[in-house]
Amino acid sequence: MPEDSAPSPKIFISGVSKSFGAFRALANCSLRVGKGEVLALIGPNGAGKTTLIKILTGLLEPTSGCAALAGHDIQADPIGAKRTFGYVPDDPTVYDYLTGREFLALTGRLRGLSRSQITERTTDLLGLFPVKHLMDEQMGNYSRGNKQKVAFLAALLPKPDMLLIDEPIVGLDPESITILGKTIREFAKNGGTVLFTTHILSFAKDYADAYALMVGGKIVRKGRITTQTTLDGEYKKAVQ
Amino acid sequence: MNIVTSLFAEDIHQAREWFRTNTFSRGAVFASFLWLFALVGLGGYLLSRAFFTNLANYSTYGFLSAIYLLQAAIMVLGFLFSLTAAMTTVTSLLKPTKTICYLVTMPIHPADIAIWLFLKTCLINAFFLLVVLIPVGLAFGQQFFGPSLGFFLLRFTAGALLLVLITSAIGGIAGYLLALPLRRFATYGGLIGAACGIAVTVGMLRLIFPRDIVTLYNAAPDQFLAIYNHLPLTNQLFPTYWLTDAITTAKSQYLYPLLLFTIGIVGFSFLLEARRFLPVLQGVNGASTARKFKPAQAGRLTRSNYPLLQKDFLSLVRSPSEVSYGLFLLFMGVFFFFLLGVAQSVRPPGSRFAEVFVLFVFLWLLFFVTAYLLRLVFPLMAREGTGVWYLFTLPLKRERVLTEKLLLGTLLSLPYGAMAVILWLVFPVAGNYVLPVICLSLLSIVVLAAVQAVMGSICPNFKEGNSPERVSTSIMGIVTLLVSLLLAAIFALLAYLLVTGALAAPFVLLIGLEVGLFFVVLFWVLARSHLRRLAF
Ligand SMILES: Nc1ncnc2c1ncn2[C@@H]1O[C@H](COP(=O)(O)OP(=O)(O)OP(=O)(O)O)[C@@H](O)[C@H]1O
Ligand SMILES: [Mg+2]
Repeated sequence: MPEDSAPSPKIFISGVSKSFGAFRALANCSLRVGKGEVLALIGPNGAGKTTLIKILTGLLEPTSGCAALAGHDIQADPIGAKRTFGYVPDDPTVYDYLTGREFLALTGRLRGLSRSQITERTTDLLGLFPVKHLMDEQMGNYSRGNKQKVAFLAALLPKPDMLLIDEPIVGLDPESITILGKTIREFAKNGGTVLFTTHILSFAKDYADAYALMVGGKIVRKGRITTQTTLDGEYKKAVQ
Repeated sequence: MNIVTSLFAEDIHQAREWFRTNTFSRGAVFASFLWLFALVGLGGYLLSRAFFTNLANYSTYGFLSAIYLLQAAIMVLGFLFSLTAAMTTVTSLLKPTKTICYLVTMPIHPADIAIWLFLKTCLINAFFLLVVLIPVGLAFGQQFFGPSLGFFLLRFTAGALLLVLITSAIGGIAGYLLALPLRRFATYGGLIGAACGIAVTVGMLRLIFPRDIVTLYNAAPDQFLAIYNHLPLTNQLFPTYWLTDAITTAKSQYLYPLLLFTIGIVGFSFLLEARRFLPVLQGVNGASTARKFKPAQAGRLTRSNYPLLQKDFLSLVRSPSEVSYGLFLLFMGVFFFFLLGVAQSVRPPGSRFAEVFVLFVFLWLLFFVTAYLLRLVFPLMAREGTGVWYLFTLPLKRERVLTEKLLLGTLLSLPYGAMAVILWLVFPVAGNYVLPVICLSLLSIVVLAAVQAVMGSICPNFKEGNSPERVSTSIMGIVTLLVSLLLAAIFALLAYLLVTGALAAPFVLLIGLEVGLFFVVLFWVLARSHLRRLAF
């Protein structure tokens, strides 16, 4: 079936709610992100952005509703769904005692890449950020931003269909922000799908195709980002 | 002082809060802990009562022998408690808790923090020392101080408390002196420490059990005193001699030297800790932790069939604290059995003695194994820590994670397996039982390792992932300890039935295998269903 006539969404969230005890963190959220699309999830602190991403990645079970990645329901077929995405959480701490190179090797191995693929991909990816000199050092000594970069590279390593990134630019220096933004665009241009959260509206405006605005556990506004869109205005209206 | 009081008040407050949530389960765990200590105390009492009664009948010099043993016990316990106090101090300096880091940024004099930490070490030492020593003291007093038992116990308790102060002070001094070198020579620090520990141990044992001591057994009464007074431990320059004398005589001439010694060493320790707290903490945190590794290791990971096992193994061997804890616990085991070997060689074993001895050694072996596993294998899953998102967003079956933890746990128990083999080759076990006893020990060690690895995955405490000592003392850790002790008891009973000839070797091994499999499978199923429902 030609994709244009019936675009089945890569990321599909339908009626997802999540309660922590009596507290309702997400209420009936629905969202679709298509192939080649970059969506920015924005909203004030505590709006439920991280919770939504955790449900998508299978770290949390939704109280009701369902989420699917490339057609694989994350609860019913977790392994199938997890093969399709790379994920970077808001706190990118992983294994302090491994070196960056070992971490990439481990990721490649666990995602079923061959030796030569791992070496090749690692060499490719290390051209992205200037972190080559750090790769044989233990990650526990990395600064926060460098940890984040390595976690991002690990997410890209298996060439996933999708990237799910929680606050990708917190702690990154200006140059790295630009590199990351461009990498995301490049990834989308090659048919990848990206969902990221951010508080930096200008970053969303520069690098995302669409946005979804969350307030108090609900998605209150969705739209495409064009040169006319003023995310600041939308944000202020929604929050008040 | 005000600050110290409020720091303690905060500790008490936190303990109360700990009990307030989940009061029932925590109360139950606490109660079972008390039971455990009561049992240990009672066991110690009964054993020493029988021992001292026996000794009193033995010869006219039974009292002197008892005093000698008391002093030896004080020396051994003093050594062990100094060692643990040093470990506690080094840990709190090398891995300061969040609270300590926060306190350091507050306008508080560092001396207050140092004193607070010292007093906490004292309290912990006091608790354990009293549990171990008071029952022995009671038995000793009943035998030799019947009429003035109350006064004796008072002196004994006071003496034990002095020992607590002295050992905490010595441990504190050693810890403060060692923290920086240990950080600097991380990899070899543990090894050098272990070597020093072994050297001190051997020296101490030579001191307690010099070659002449065997001649005491056959000595005529008039020779006894002459030999006794020339034993190294009866040298009046040893503070342990002063302490023993102050405990066993009403108006000891050594009381003042002892008090002066205590005040001196505690004072010195206080001063050192108050002065050095901040410099050592800064030095430790300022030392470069940058460690590079060759890319070859990464290459090995890319073709490993057990990459998760391999990464966990790296996490252990690259962490000096884990390595030194592992070595320390192994060393304690070696130390204990060495002591036991020396002690039992003095006494020619009868057949009945040999059977009870096997039971005794087996129980202690499994006890050491349990302690070792609880610290190194049980926290394997929790050690994923805050990075646990990584493992559980990869396209992996959760069973696979569990399998590799279990395999690593079993591998880590190998040193103790080797120790068990050596033990049964050295200790007196009737020849035809040596192989079955070795097989049974290996089986029980593997079962314990598997059970601990799997139980550690039932409710993994990821939040405390980078402080395994806290993981192993959490509620699930204590439950695991109890289950392990139960298993140890079952296996020790099997060993006893084996060497008494009550059960044939194949039966014993079969029963052991079935019991082991039952527990491992049971907890495996529990852990698997828990991991499936895990949310972060
Ligand atoms: N395990 C939990 N138990 C109870 N409440 C939780 C839990 N996890 C999240 N919450 C609550 O859910 C709400 C949404 O949190 P979430 O982390 O998703 O917000 P966010 O939009 O990512 O915020 P931020 O912009 O600060 O990252 C918050 O009010 C938070 O307190
Ligand atoms: Mg968030």
